Amino acid sequence: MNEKVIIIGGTSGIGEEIVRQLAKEGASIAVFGRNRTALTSLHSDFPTQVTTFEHDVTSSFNADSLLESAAAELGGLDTFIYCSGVLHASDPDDFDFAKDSEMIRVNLLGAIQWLDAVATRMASVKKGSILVIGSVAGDRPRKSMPGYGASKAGLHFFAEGLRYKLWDRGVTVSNVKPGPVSTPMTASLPMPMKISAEDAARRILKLRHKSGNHYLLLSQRIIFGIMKIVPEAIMKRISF
Amino acid sequence: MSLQNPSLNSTIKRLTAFGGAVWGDCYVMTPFTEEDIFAVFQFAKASGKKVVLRGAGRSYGDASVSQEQLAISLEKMNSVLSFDQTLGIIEVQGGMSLLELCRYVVGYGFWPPVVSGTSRTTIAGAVALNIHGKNQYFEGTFCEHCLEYKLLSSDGVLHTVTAQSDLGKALPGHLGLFGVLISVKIKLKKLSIPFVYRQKLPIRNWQQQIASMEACLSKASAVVSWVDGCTDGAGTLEVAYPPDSSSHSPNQELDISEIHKSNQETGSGLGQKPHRPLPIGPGPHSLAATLGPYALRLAIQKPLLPLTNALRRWADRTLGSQAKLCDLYRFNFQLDWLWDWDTAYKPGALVQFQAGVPRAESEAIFPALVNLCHRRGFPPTLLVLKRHRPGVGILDYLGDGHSLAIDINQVKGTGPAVAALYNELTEMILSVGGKIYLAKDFLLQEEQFQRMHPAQSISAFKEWRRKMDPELILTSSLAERLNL
Repeated sequence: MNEKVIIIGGTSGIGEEIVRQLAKEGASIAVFGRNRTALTSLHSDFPTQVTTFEHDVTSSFNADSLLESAAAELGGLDTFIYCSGVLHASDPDDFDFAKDSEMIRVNLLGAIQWLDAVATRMASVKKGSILVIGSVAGDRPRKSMPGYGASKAGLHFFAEGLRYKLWDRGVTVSNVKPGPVSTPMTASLPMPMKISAEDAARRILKLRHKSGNHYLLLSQRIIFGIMKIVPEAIMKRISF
Repeated sequence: MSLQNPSLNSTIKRLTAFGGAVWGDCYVMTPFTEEDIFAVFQFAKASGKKVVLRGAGRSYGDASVSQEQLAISLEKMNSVLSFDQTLGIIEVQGGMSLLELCRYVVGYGFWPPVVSGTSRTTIAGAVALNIHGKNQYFEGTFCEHCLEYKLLSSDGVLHTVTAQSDLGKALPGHLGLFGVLISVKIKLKKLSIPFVYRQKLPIRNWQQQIASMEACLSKASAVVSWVDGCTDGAGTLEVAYPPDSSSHSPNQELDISEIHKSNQETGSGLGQKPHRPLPIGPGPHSLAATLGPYALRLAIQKPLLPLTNALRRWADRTLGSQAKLCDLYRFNFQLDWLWDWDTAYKPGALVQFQAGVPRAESEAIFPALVNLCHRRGFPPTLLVLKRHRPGVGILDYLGDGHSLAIDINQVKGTGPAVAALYNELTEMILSVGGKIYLAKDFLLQEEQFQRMHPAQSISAFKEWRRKMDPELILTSSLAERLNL
């Protein structure tokens, strides 16, 4: 049987690439996203495999009900991937609650609402894979993105807790922490060593059934591992 | 019942067929009453979902499996409604298991005339798939001993159906698509003692299998053969004789002390009513039951399979060639000896191909089927041969002939190869006018199914289904696959 996948935030960047690559592998996919044009495009590119749902994770929604609808369309659920994310980098004098709260709502609260519903189902069925897209920014706070880092750190914690909760019920929880990736979200940010969204998606998909926290590249594992132990006095003086 | 909860999410369960080859995730409802069941039907209609009926999940096929639909489990509806000890007629709810039924009635000197190889089957499932046992040639199928059914159709009407009525004749093997069997009235068999004489006869080849089986039909009460799939039909013919028969062994008298000893073990003596769990093999939570599947997993590996089978035949030849008293639990429910033994096939699955063929074809077709399995790289882990008389039911697979069940070890990743083999086996069966047992099937194609059964039988089944369930609320993966 082909893999049945639900992807939240599959209309741009890494999420869209994941959808396209999974479709090429033969999976059946339910894609949730805000961008109606992108949803239509995905469906027309893979009409028999991709089902689309217009959805905003910051709106009031019933995840249980949406999950039931999507699983009914797919005829089951094997893998759930949460890709939705926003990043508002902040200037030195920018302390904007609206931006920070949006990041928390999209990157963390939306994820938690979906993950609780998915975990309920998968724990009951005793089978399934959950993958969330975290970020290396969630490993250590930085002055350029405290809100984003907080949202991703929260997501890391939640995913790890979920992994502990579900380990004996046949459910894997994978938290992938991509470093710099070329996507519309990071287009305006001066990031070194960006990898393409296609490459990131390919690497992420290889990790979707492997429980644990994952980096995409060995170099990122080393660099961001060092970042975790850099003294605070130095972190205050680093601009990124 | 969780219909009060607007979210079904927490009720979802993976419904797996026995053997683990096919499954589906469904929202499982566990009703206590007919009203609860009707509420599920109404909820299904309101939500645009369908309903699959689930018994004990002991069928190898996908008759009690569906995807993302509602499922009704009858496990809480398992009571005895009435019992006439004089006539031996009992009315039980559909969710009662055969084991519960046997435990209840054996103390009064009765036994269900037909039981399957596992005692965990529910009565509703036994009717829906019209099960049979080792004595099908003598006693027929399960439904041939049912006198009356109470069937709740999807419109909420409770039908009281006598076995002689038109609907009563259509119900055997209705695949859970006509309605929910609330209760069944069964005519039980009177026992003198809850034992049979069992004899295990060594058999050398297929010709001898068929001939020996035929030879013992006049005196036996049940007959089955366990065939070694790594040989040319060698195996053990297991024959049961009635305990009051003199045909088993003229020189052997009933050993009363053995009966008493066994009664103490099983709580199954005449007139006794205590019904503690039966000692059919190690208990479900014992160390032996935990380790057993691992040992079995090793034993069914391809390189060891010939040795495993040879050892089994040797043990049967050495220990069982003399007729001995055997209690009915041990004789009938041999599949329950090791609890959850099918897990030995994990992480792969156990696929069982079971077909009935006319008597004249058996001797030629069975070796050909087994040879094909070997050629495709799937030596059968077990073959079970039975003798049959024509069955009842619109889509019954039995005729005057034999059935062969072939156990196939579907090692992880070999699903497509097993499906291809299954398809070839099916075509061979079709070529000799045989039929596949739907209780074991999840791979038969609609076109093959149409060649297998007369068009008027298929039409009749579909007409009854649509008459009883016009909105086709009841479903299953099997019904969808075969377009029933």
